[in-house]
Amino acid sequence: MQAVAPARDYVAEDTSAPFTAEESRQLFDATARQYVGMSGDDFLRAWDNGEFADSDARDRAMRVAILIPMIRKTSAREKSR
Amino acid sequence: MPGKNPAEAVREYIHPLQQSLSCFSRAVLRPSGYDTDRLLGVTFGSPTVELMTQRGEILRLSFVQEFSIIKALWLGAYKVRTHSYYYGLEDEHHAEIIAFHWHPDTTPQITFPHMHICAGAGDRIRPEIRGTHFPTSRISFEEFCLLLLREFHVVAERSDSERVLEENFLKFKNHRTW
Repeated sequence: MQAVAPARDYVAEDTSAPFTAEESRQLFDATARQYVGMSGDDFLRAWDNGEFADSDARDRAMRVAILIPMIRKTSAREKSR
Repeated sequence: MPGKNPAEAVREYIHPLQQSLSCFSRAVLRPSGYDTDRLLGVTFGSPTVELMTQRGEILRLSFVQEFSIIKALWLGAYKVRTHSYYYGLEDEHHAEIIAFHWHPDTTPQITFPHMHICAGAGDRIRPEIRGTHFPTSRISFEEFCLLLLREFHVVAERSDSERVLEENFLKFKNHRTW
């Protein structure tokens, strides 16, 4: 697994520098491995297939799923309340 | 606060969150982009950041907010709208202790803000407690940070932490729409 870049020191002008696509992918992968023990790609397949049905697994999966918009373009209107 | 362009709107949105985070950590919050009408995320560059308690215990903080940038037609300016939040506290071994969530779009059956008491809170927590979504009001990141400071005795990185958090909480209260 590729290491995720460590958090940098706080520098005001850096705060809104967006994640690059590769940084987002690495973060998603690290989070999936941390919380559900699978790669980011495997997690996406499982999530799309509606796995993680039981509540314990689902809570951990939700922790990963919240990062999906960082790696997959999702229209805000699609998810609008 | 609105911005003249999407990047400025995101900076205005992240700035108080970053300032609040700086009370405990030197981690940097970053967005996943500036695209308008797209669901975006803001978090730090690792799944969690390390915190230290006054007893010398290591805890871990997680933070994710989903947001979108919308053009406010009446002003010609850009605004950020929050779609969800996840604030969590974990022990050193990544067992979640407590978490505050709001993710109405992802779970249409649970649209209200809620709190979880998780396995990391203790070995004898009943399973039904661990599975319960305890309803809460909308919780700001600053309220969560104050909880860390006052109840979990997390060591502050700056001497004015309580003042910064109280001020940012007040700003949040004045600008929130619900």
